[in-house]
Amino acid sequence: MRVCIAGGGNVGSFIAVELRDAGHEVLVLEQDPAVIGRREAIPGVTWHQADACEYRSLERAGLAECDVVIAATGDDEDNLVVSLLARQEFAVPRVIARVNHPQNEWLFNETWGVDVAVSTPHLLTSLVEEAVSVGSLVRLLQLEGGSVSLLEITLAADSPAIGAALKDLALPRDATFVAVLRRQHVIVPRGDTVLEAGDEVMILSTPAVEPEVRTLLAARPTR
Amino acid sequence: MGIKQVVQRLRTPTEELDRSKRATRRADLGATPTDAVVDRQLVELVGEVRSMRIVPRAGTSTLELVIDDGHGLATAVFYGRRSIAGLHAGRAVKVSGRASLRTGRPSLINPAYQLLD
Repeated sequence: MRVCIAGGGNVGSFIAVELRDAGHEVLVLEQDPAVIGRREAIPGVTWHQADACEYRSLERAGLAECDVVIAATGDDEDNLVVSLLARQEFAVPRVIARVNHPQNEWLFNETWGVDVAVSTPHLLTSLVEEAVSVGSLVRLLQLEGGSVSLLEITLAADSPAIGAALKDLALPRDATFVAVLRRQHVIVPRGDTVLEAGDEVMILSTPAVEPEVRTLLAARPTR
Repeated sequence: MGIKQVVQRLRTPTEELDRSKRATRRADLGATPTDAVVDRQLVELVGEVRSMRIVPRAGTSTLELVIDDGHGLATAVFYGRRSIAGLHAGRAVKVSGRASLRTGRPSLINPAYQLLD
């Protein structure tokens, strides 16, 4: 795939190297010649010295042929501009944007052309939550712009779902069990799978039915 | 117009007449027919607004126009808008921008538009 990365700082060049190793054609747009000078040694990655917020530079960079654009600069405003230009002017199929300041995350959505927003602080909190919390529902991942999410819950001893077979749990139609992790083993959920305390349950669910899923599996009303 | 043409015209269904009218206007203005749009190319489309829809999305609203040019349908999406002065169902319009075929039919995001008579 042809990938264009806006911003050649630490994040941008790290992604560039990873994607190059995965066999993709990578182009990095960076405004500062000094930064390019430091990194041009990275083989197999094309560097352009250009302002990624300018239509002309994006056109010259061949954005109309790019499959993915990653807005990875350290400036949220720039990332939004790059995302919108990529979507509106070049109809790029997939636009990924980096959120630097968590307070700006609400802006990174479809109306700015962003398909996936990656916010490091939020990622960290959800990972920490997942590691420490028992009995409460944690959102691990959002897909399709938040229309469906992957949820995880470690069943507490007083969860109402313990001892019940999955088919007897009245899981809403817009949610499904994806996996049950029990003592380092993955159990593919079937109707007759019986849940135990300590099970880590993965659920794919739409946001609308999340509260129902929570009532069904969480021990007590949390958050 | 001779009597034969009049009879012919009366015998043709209204939709057929509308379609050929739209197709003629499109051809006169040299715009691309919707069924010939190539993914991710810059295009100009000329047609009539068949429907307008306000879609609440991510905290704001998005205005979606379905444009009919007699060859098929295309969508014009305007982010953050609820209405655009002069644009209403039935209006002839020219939109230009980069077309995406991701959703099946050509769609243009925040295209430049021009109202036509």
